[in-house]
Amino acid sequence: MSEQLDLARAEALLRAHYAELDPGALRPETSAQIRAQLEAAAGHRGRAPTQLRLDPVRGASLTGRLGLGWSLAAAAVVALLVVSWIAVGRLAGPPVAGSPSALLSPGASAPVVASPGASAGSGVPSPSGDTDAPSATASASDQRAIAFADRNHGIVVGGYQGQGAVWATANEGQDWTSTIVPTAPLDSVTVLGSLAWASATCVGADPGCTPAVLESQDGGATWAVIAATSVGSLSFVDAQHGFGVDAGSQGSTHVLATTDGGRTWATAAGAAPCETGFAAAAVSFADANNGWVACEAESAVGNSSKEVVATSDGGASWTVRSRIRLAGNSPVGSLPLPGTFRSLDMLASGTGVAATWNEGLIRTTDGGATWTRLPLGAVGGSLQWPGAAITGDGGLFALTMDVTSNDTSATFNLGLTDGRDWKPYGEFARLPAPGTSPTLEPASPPQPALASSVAFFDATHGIATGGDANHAYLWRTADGGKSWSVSAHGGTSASIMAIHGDRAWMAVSTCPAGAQAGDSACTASIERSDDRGATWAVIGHATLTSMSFGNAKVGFGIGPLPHSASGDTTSGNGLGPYTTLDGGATWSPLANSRPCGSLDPVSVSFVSATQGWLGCEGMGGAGEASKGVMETIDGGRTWTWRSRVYGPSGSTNIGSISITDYLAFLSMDADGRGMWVGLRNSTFRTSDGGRTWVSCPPGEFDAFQTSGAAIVPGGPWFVVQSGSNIGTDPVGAARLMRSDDEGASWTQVGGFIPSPSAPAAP
Amino acid sequence: MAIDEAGFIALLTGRLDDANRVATWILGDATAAEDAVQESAARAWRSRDSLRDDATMPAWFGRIVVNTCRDELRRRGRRPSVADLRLADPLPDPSIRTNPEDRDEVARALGRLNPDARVVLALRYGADLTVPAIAARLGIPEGTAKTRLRDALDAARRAMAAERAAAIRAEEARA
Repeated sequence: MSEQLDLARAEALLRAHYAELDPGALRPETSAQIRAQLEAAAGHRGRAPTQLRLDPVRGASLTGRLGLGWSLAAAAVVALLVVSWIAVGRLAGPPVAGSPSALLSPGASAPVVASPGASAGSGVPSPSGDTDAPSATASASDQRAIAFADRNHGIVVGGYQGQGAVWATANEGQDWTSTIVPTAPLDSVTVLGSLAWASATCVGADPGCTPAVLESQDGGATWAVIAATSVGSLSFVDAQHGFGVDAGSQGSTHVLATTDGGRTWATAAGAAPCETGFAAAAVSFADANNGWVACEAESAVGNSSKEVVATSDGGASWTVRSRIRLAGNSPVGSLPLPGTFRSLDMLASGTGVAATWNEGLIRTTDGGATWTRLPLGAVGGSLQWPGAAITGDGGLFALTMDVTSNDTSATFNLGLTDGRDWKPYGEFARLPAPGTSPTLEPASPPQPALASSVAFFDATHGIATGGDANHAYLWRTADGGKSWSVSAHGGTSASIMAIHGDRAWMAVSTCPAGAQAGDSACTASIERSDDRGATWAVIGHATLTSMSFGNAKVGFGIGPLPHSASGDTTSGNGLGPYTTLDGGATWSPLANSRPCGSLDPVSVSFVSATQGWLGCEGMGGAGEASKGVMETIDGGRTWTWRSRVYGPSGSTNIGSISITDYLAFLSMDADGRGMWVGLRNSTFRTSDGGRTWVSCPPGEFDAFQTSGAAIVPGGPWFVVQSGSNIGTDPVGAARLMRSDDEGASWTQVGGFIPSPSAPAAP
Repeated sequence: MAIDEAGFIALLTGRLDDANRVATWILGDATAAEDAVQESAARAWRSRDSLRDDATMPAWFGRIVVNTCRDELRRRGRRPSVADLRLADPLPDPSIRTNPEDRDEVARALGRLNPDARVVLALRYGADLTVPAIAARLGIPEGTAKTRLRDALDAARRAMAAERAAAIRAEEARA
């Protein structure tokens, strides 16, 4: 059943929802409590290490001397536990022990910023990255899962700057190598000899997340994506046969299985491991016959109904080994009520370890019937992404991390145990943080200035604009893009360009620190060059998001419509077509201000003062968007749809245009040939005035984002792309692609377009 | 320049009300929001040496709050919650009334979205931030923020439509 709900109504409902939800100020007593805790923490600065004992309510005690070496991790545990008992205490009365000041423990006031580099300020990740780009990029790292083949060989996976990251060790965690993989952050890993598999999973309907299963045949050094399935908690019994949980759904009583090394996944044969109402949260097979599944049902305040089931016949049948419910039905075996399952790693002997949120690590030696909490002891650390691995030769590894890992550089600890007590490996076996790891340190500045828009006067003379967050640059070529000169341009952002003859126009934004193009604090100007980009002059002021000139005087653009309530261009109400008759100095809205109807104008491309095309787009999701291309032959007074798609099977669709991707940029020539490029790597071409569009070969464009396009009338087509093809190319690079057959095939011109070295931050 | 502890505490406590509002919008309930504010304060205190300029305190702490809330949503999202199980329940929920635009429906629809979507919607329609401001708050490029907002709004729209359909079905089942 499909109930229609238009976007304006959806926005109105959301605004009403948040307005009604608005709680206003924090309760004064809570505010006062936080202040008191902060002041208490400040007051404790410099005192001797302190004995702490916390939270007998939940049976989770932490006793130990807080030394400098691990005060951070211990403080993190303290904070997490205290927050937990605050939550518990709200329901069950005040905690039996502990004091409010423990929230910000004395240990925490020692110099505990995670990275030793913090005080030196050398690339220390900082959450204050709004105006501090290098710091912001360096902080986006986390470690989410751990697996060991034996005591020496292990892998940790996670994310780095929004991509997948893998750390591998071959000597018990003393040394690590790190690798970035071009996927979403990884949250599951398993190792089997020199083989390893990892996966990136997506929770629920997440259009911004593409799931992936990866395989390594060399112990984690190199990886290949082999499937796009959202499967978590990977466990393989041989090179072909493996299991996992369905992470793409909100929960299944079944586990998934593969029989082809992880390429395809289907519900495992045999009985459902979890009983009705439970969902498989983690799975571990020790061999082809013996497997365990951790199942979970409803949870509240850190507790959850859960069970552990086992099979000894490869999953044909399952037996409940232990179970506990929130509602207190007769438990089976011994499982803690606190905690929700994150990972499970079992040996055929029936010894295993599970990692949980809120309850740390729990361990069994009897096939999952009884579970006991593993004190982390001196290893410390909280379990933001708890993970643990056990090996047949006596290794037990825990992945612990600082709860502030999203905010500051995190410390990642690895413990090794003989099964009775944790021994920190060495002092600490720390995984190299991205900011300090040679293999993760970007070879070029974290956000190099990249060319993003391109225009060509003829087949050899072209210009490109772009920049980084704070500076605009201009590139020029006189050899068809083989070589470029680059110079700083005024303003902080320049990306929209148009040309006619030897004349070029550029839209430039100048923003104060912290603001970005489009902010009201920025000034927008139109600059013009009459000498193929050698010299430029400001000729007017207008905020345009697209610009095209039909001749030296008459141009068209897209910008915020006047009288728009907010000037906000994201809600789809504010953009309209503009025209200039004086070479770009002054701009006025076209009389027909809503040519696209319910869609929004996005990009404009004119070939004369009267003929041009308009790319339109509506709201979309999951990488799809309603869109269309219109043509005018009377200077924008009237427009005709050449192609349009509102949905997969809509009767109102016109012509042939893909619903995939968001239309970002449209470029046409006078013969009705042209291309549009999308925000997500798509490029489509037409040869019939925009009626039918076909995809340009995707292989040429992998891993690069097309950001600008230019057509030389009667000559070559160019697109500029930027991106990072991890492993072979510099991190962050732009390149020029050229087609001499109207978009059918493309080849890269020269090397990468050079990035200027960024000036010192203001 | 790092600021002294008293100054830091004064600045931080001055941000708590805003933090509470943002956390409530993101998490959808006041109790969880209060926990998140406390946790955020703890994180901020531990990380205070990384705050190099007190002028950036609002953005710095704002991002900690958002990250804390997102972490909480992620923790919730990794297993079926009580709310999810109730959604799967075929029996009509007596709390669902005929008003198809009932506030509970919006809340439930938001509960279906991924954490990043919930964060971006809360910042846009709750905190009324512009796209550049959202990008700055999240530390992501503006284009990414715009795409994320677009996707989130569309996902919300679909989820609300689905909730409405469920409510209508429930009403029909009662009739």
